[in-house]
Amino acid sequence: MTERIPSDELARRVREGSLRAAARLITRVEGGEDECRPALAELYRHTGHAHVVGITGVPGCGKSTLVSQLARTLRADGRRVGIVAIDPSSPFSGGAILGDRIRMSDLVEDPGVFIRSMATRGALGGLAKASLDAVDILDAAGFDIILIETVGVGQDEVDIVQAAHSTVVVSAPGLGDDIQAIKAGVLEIADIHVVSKADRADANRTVTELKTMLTMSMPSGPDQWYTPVVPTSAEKQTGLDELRDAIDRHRKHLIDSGALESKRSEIAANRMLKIAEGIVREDFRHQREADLADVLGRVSRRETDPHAGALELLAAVHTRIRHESTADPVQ
Amino acid sequence: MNQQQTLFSKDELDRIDAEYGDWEGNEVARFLERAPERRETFRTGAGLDVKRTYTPVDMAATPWDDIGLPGRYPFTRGPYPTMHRGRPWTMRQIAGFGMAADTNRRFHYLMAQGQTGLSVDFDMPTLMGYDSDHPMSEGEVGREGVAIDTLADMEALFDQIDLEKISVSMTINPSAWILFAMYIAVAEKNGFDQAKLSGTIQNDILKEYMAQKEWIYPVRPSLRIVRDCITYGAQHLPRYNPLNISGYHISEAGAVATQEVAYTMASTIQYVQEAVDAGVDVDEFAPRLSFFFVSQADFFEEIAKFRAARRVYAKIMGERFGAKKPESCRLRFHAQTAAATLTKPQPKVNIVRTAFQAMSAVLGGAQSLHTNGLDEAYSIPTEEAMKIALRTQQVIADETGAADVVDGIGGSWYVENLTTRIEEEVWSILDEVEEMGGTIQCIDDGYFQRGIADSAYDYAIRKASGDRPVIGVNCYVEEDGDPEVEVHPHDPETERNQIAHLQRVRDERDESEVQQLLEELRNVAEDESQNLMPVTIKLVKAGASMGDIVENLRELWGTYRETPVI
Repeated sequence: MTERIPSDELARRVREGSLRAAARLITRVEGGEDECRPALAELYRHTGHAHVVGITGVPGCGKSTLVSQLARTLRADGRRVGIVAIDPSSPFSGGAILGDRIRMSDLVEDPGVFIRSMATRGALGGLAKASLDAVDILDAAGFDIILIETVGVGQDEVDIVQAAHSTVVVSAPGLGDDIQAIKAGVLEIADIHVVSKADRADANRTVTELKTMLTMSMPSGPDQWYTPVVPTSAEKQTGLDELRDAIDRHRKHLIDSGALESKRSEIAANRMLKIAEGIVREDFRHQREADLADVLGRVSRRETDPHAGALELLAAVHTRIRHESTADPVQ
Repeated sequence: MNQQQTLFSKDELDRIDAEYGDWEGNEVARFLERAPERRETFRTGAGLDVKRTYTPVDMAATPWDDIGLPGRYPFTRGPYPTMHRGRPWTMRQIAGFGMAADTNRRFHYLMAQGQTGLSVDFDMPTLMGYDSDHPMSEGEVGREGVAIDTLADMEALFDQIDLEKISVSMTINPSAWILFAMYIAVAEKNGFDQAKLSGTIQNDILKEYMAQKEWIYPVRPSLRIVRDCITYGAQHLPRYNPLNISGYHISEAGAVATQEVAYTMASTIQYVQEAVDAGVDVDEFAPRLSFFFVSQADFFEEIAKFRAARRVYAKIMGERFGAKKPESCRLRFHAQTAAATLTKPQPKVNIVRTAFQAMSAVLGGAQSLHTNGLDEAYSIPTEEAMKIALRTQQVIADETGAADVVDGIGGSWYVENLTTRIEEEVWSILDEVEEMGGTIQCIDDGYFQRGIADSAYDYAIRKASGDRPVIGVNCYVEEDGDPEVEVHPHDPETERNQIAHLQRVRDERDESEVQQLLEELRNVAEDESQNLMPVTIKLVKAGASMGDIVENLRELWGTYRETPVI
């Protein structure tokens, strides 16, 4: 058994580029350990270098294959690539068939690539929070580009995707209507559409539908981003350079148009609000027995109404949190 | 044919090429130093490179035999030797709204203004084969075209019109054979000779699956209907065009010029093959095939497109299908200016756009032409808008001199070069279609649909970004909003009156005769070797409505469904 290294020491090593330290720190983040919070706060000051790309699509759309091929393409340019996988079906998350793992073994051994899968259940403090902390850690560790892979379904996943600078939505031909319907909500958030399995004839229809949708809602005026549709084929190894170029063009567009700054501030605002919500929710959970039962009783007896009850609960939370934050020597 | 035969000697071309290089190094370079050109690269609407200027070197790859003379294979310069010097193109403004009598009045007005051919637009229910009282028809009867349910409507549509003298074009597709039957029945009733009837039904179902999306039955039975029209026409109506293979809608859906021609030719190959497979000699029906293209905004490219289409078609018919008659190899086409280029802001500018597009069509050798109304971004055109559109054609015909020479722009180094490049692109698309298993397979696989969507998307980006200027929309925008435009009124009484009219026909007909004929229709439909036309003619004469006939066969053949995606 090795001696436990303090988180701030791990943070120092992360900044020197230690993958091992990054891995251990992410584990602590996932476990919701309070001890690592000052270290994260310190690391956050050193983030902002990496380009964060969210890659989302329903299970079976060829997302994991795309991520690994894209990682290889980026590696060929000499870029360091971090991968944070949230898809439970992703081979990175361990749900893989052996063939997938073998296909990715070259990436696993490459020191310029860091792959981390996040537990989809049980991440204390929320999956989104832990995943985005992991992204910060990789950013501070000097990765040039960080790919977040998710299935894009559920609030946590949508939060994660929206925290990316560029969002890639992957569609595949031949998936059933019901599966595709789930995806309907994420089509609009795409900065780049990928149609995977483009070697199949029915991919034509997928490309057609996407382009028709985009044509109908084309934004006009200067400095607009026109969402591209990139067909890729894992089998024929095509489209990967185009996807890399599209991501680079999108980053350049964000910088040139000034949108990157507003996007960053939007992402930060969302993260803060989500964390605040999480804190309040946790607090309710812990105080359920006492406060909640009391207020609930009065609401049930029609002595007060749900709105006033909620305000009363919030007032109690507010006092407690203020008390805690002055007592807690964070930062 | 000697493919090596070029118009200039090698020495001459070398000398010109050397001078071109010298010019670029001197005059051009000095100018560019002072002022760069407006853009780094110039491209046509179809995305073909446009050089600074063209010389004989750029047409060295085009042998004289590919250009040739008008009225002679490969008909690049026109289907007829005298072209518009003999008779100008047919000025054929499309019209259709309300009940048949309303449209009939518009026809008489247009003819009084000097229009030389008729063209009918039908309402959505008629286009889709529904009767006016079908639930799907509600709100659509007579709105965007004329409503036709039964032979009685067709008689009213052509009241007091000499069908032996004027040609009538009908824009109708999945239900085309029924209107064809009605047309024949009206002519017969009025004592006209079938052999003298000239006109056209569009009947181009393949482009519906590709672009326009108005279909009823699956592909196979739909193609059989087309085949039956072609073979019936070949035997009974020697001057009638039973199929008008259309690139117009492919273009309007977003395709570029090269795709428009290539996809149209892919359909052509399929139709011709169907008829040949049915045992009809290609020279028996091919002379009656006709075409319909858009005349889009890129002035030179459009002229080149029409010329290239004629050359490609001649080679397909001559080389692939072994047609012997020259008439089988000459492509005749109707052109319409591009509705998609019309704008709501500053609508009078549409008159100017339309005039230039019409000029392309005339220089490109069109046989008939529709010029769009200035108000068509708003609604179907008013009488006044149609009059200006018609006058535009008359100005071109009578005042500009463009009609006085055949292929006046032929020999332009640029246009000849573009013609050959478009032809090459068309062959390469056709090769691709062939490789993927042919036209029907490509429809099933969404190949054409994808090509159209790709181009529409690229154009939308160019327009949205301002790369492709659209006057009044992304430049020279006027802030004070869209002007008041007098729009064509829609009469809400039309639907009620039309349904009452249909009901009266149903009440007065011999129901048992209709039912017996419908049964006969099904029997004929089940037997691939028989022709649907004779029994359909009997049906319309007996008072059967379009809906009766369409629904009867829908039970047998089912409905086409596009594979849903995303």
